[in-house]
Amino acid sequence: MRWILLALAALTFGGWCWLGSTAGPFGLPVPALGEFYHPSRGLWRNATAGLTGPPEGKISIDHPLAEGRVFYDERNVPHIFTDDIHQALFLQGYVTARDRLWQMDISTRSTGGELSEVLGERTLVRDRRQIRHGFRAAAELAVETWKTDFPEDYALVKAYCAGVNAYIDQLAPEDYPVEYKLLDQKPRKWLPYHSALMLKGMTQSMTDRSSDASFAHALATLGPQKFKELYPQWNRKQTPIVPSGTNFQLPAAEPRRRSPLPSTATLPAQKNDLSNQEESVIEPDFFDYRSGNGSNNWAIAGSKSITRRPILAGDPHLGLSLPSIWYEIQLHTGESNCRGVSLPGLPMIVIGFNENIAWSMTNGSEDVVDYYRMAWTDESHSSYRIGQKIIEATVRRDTLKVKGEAPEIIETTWTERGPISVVDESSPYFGLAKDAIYLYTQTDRPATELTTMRQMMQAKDHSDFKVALRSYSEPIMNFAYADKHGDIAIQANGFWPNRGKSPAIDSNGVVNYAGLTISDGSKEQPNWNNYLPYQHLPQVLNPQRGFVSSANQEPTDDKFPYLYYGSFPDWRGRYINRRLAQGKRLGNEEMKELQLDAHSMLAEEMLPLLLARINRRQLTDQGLQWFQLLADWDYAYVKDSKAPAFFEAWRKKFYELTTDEINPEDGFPSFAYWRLIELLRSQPRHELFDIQATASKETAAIITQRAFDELLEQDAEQPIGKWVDERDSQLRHVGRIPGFGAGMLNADGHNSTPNALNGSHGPSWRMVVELGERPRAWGVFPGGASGNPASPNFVRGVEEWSRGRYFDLPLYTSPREASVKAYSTLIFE
Amino acid sequence: MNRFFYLILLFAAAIGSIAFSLPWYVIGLLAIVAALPFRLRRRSGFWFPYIATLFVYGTYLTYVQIRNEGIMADRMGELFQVGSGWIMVIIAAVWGAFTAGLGGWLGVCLRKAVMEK
Repeated sequence: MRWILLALAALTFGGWCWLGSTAGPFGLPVPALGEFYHPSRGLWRNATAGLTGPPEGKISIDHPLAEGRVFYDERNVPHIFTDDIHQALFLQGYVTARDRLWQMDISTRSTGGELSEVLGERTLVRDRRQIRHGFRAAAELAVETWKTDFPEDYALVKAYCAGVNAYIDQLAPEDYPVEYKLLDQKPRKWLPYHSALMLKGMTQSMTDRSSDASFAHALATLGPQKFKELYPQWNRKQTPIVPSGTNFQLPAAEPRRRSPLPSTATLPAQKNDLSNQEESVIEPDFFDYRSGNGSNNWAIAGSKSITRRPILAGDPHLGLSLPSIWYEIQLHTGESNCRGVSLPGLPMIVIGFNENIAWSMTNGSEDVVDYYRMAWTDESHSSYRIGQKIIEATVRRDTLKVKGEAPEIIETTWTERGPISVVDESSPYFGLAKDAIYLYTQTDRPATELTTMRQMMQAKDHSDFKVALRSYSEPIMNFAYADKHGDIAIQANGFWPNRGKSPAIDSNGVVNYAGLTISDGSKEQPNWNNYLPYQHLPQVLNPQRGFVSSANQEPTDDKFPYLYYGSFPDWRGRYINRRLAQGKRLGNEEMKELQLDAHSMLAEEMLPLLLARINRRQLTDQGLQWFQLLADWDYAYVKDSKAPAFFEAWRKKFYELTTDEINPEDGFPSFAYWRLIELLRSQPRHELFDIQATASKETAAIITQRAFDELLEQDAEQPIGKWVDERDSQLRHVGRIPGFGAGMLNADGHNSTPNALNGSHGPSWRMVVELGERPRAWGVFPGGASGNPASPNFVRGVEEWSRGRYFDLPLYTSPREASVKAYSTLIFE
Repeated sequence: MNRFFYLILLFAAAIGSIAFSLPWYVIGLLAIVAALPFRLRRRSGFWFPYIATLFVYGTYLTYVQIRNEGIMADRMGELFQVGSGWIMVIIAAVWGAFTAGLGGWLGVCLRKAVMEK
């Protein structure tokens, strides 16, 4: 009996130990619970780590670059002081990893198609897509370019990686970020390849949008005339970045010739059956690129500012998450002293200021993704024809590791026009070759944004700024600039596909839509094989009007001699320009107010046209109340107001009724609101307003009323609430882990307003810099320095951001100055 | 007296497990070892380590929970859908206590089978 009981006890204890040591026992989505619950090793260790803040004291690392001091301020923002930039970037890597290691890891896995290695089958579809779209290949090529053409900058990346790895090497398993513990995952060594993936992820979020198939469908269905009428490429009301009416006298300059895509084949071409691989719904992205990323930036000259010196403001709009996509930092080296925000995983500062200049970026709207229908010579798609030449396709093989499963081998067919990215037969992009700016952008004069960031951090004046921009490749961004000497400037910068001179009309009078729609891959010339000369990029220096600005609108009017496509709605840009053009002098407070402004030009232009078509005499009391509320509305998307909620629902209903014959669900491109408003104003009996499904002939007035009535019925059943509730902008964890977010963002804004909060997307960093003998700056993002969900610094700025408050951003000039304000100091020696 | 010393040892084991960040199952192994020198009933073998560990772990976790203002535990509570973060505190303390209890029970069984013939 004793032995039986002993056996029973041993079995029970052993079974319990197995249960507590096994991740996902019995298929349950849980980590190894024994370690996870342990008071000083599991989640509770992360809870205590969240309390203590940054470490204080000396750190000894056996690495030649591990030298310098890090002063943490009250918000846990690191201020790094070193002798040279390599040391600074080593420490940047170290402190960034300390705060954001898991975020760095998962973001690059997301871009490189490596999520399934840690998340299992649920992310397989997304991983396959990322691989087939060439992001691994693109990152590899970027690293090769750094090594070959930019050894100086490559050394900076390596210094950063060494810093990250020095931190990882010090970590005991119990010190891993809690997300690693949840996923039973380990940090991996950080390589330049991962930093390249970070860059490619940003480029993806900024540029990887295409309407080629839908425009092709619309052109084929509607015919050229109708197509031109419904989808004009130029909005006459736009206020472009280079002011309308500018006479483009471009100096003679050679375009930057694009280098051919290097062969990615490591294996001979082989039969590749495209149809036997599945692809379905796409998982959420860590870099949110489907919500219409946008941004604002502007700079006012001394002639417009209260301080008589330029002031710069910038607020990039990106996916909002916890931790934030940005990491605040100051880097003080022998060569420069710069403060701003960096991307975790990437060395240096992306947006910021130094003692002389400030800069910020917005996303360029230009179309830099083209799809080609290849002329395959056989059913197995092993070769294709370009002109008279038969070319063998190459096949790239990538290994896709899957947690708990055998790895998959993903075969991607590559052509001279790019990879065959989509293998889902139901997709309009099925079997097309994808040429995208992120794949390979090099030219006869190579460039990399690493050089740009380095030179920008060191820039002293406008000529340095121009030198820095020349080295920049992708994605196209609108760089706003201001310096303490009084110069302001803006430039749409990057490798800009040269699609020929505008307007492109062939001998038969047909407008050139190459690149706007799906292109013929058998033509000898691709849509673009070189980039605009650097000198020809749209740019403005010290304009008469005293300010420069951008909000993702078109960079020029249609007098610009080059053809380009792609634009974002210009509601924000027009409003910002209107405000900045007002006569009075502006200070940093007015800059902040404008960033927080929730006034919508879309509502201002559309609502009066809708209200004018409502028959008030037929309205019920409920209808009259809403009518009056809207009539009194000041077009501001204020969180506690109901008017914007009603207007949003109304305009969307009106839009749906209007565009029934060109519905995006039927393969048509989105119909632009500015064009809808044009028709509403000038052609209210346009056939587009007729609803196809009815026998009667509808006009704008009829469907305006119908949309209003339907909304009233909806309101009676389920009352329309405040804007903040209807919008429901959630601040989620970057890995979408339930409970790790911060809930609903209680703030004003809409994507048509300068304060462009929409969904989980919005101003990811607000910055205002007053240039002067010593810069004064303010900034905030909805998050904090720490990536530890248990730390108060995880959500440090959320409340301030929501309330429209800013933190001071002092630029310390010496370790002594920084130490006075420091809450803790780390000394590397 | 046996029980008193046994309890002292168990308290020391639980405190050591936290202080030295020993792997989670070590509290069970320590409870096995702690049970060997004492003549105990099997029931005591389980409940003494259980209560000692529950007390030590519970006290420590309560301290962490209060100092952290429940931030981490509340997030975990939402993730695991158990409601309040305090439930996570209880679960973690009970997990450790149960591990120790099983170890103690095994230790007593081992003693009775091998040493008390």
